[in-house]
Amino acid sequence: MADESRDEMTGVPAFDDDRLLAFALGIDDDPQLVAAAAADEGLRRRLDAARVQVEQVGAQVRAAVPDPDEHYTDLGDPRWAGLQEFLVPPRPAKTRGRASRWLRVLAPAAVVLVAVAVGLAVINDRRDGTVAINGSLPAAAKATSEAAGPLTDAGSDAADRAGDYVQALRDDLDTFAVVVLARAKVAGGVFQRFVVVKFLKGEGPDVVSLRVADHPADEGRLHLLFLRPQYRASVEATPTPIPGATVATNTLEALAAGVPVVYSYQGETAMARELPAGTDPAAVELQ
Amino acid sequence: MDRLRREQPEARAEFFRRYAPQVRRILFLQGFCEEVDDAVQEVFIKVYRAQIPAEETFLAWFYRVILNTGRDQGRRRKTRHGLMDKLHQIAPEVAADAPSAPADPALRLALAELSPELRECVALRFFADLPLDEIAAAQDIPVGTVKSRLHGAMKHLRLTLTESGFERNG
Repeated sequence: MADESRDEMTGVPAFDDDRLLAFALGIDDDPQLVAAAAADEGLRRRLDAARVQVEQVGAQVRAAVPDPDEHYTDLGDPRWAGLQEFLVPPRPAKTRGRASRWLRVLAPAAVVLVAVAVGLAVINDRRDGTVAINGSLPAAAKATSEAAGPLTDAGSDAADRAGDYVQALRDDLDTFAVVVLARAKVAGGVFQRFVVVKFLKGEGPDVVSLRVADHPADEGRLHLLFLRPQYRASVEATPTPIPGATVATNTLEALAAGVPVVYSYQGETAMARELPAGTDPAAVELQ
Repeated sequence: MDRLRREQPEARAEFFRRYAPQVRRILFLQGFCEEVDDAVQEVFIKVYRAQIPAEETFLAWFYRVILNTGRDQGRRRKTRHGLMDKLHQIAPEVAADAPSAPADPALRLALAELSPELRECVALRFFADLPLDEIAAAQDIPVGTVKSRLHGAMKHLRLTLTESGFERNG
């Protein structure tokens, strides 16, 4: 291959392979090389060959790394269990003042944002403004309720905790577009199916298949499933009660007291909250 | 970016879905090892926990996080392999947790012969398609050094592959 661009003294090509490689890699603009290649077909061919070589080497390097499996970016996959804590909606920063303010709205005015009635599990005892709870609720929730004392005592720490539980469930209900009451089926592999008993908010399929992130739910147990997170630009500073809702504050506390289990549903974060044993599905309603 | 900064879960999930395969490839090539899922996860945990920098410096910062995580993992793996080697000497039946080889032996040889710094350069160039100045920012070195490393790496890869008959087969 003739190359007209040669050093007159040494006879060595002025445009050696290193220089061509640098140009092909985009390391050097080299206008001198561009001008010479425009006038020299041999040099132009060498330059084209260098470009092809760079592309071939690049392709070989890319091919050397095997593609990830098709579920690689499924955040519900157990290998990404360490990321789950970062993928649940953040709780708005709550202060004692805010919780107290929320309770001041709740108790005296006898309105609540969302009322969930779980069969006979909750008995509202309006005497002295306190709320009683029967023994079928989880011990933790019961203890919380007892510790909380009269809801009208907005200044106590226990009442603040109760307010936090109410707020936690309220946040979940606000955050997710679909809330269903569903019964857990036995987990098969990394997936667990839940048969929907009732749609409480939004619409969805009759059977929801969730990818288990941590541990599966107990078979046959009723759960509140929160699906389709809907993210807002900002969180409201003050909750707005829904007029006309009935009071079942302690049920909210009981439900929120359970630790939510995080799942993945069609690539999005989903949450499940287990309901107390013996819960009557017909009595669970969002009003 | 703003949503990521505000710690919105869906923004974090989107960011993961978009970048996880690329992070995996870079870490794979950097450490020359398939066992990178833990390191990939570590990268995203660092990002989620970090104070996200300004948009104009974000990518350089992000790739620096990847490289540093890969280097840390490499050090840990080296220690582990050192221990495994010692165990192997004591009990030869114990299988060492050796890195997996890419399919092309010539390329494996060529890549293995590159220094870690040169491999990082190649990874950022071919898997992240970063321009020279961003590779420089990610590696925290001058652009001239990036040019030199990239040129050296490509020259070596090309030569090794040519000698092994890659051009005839390719």
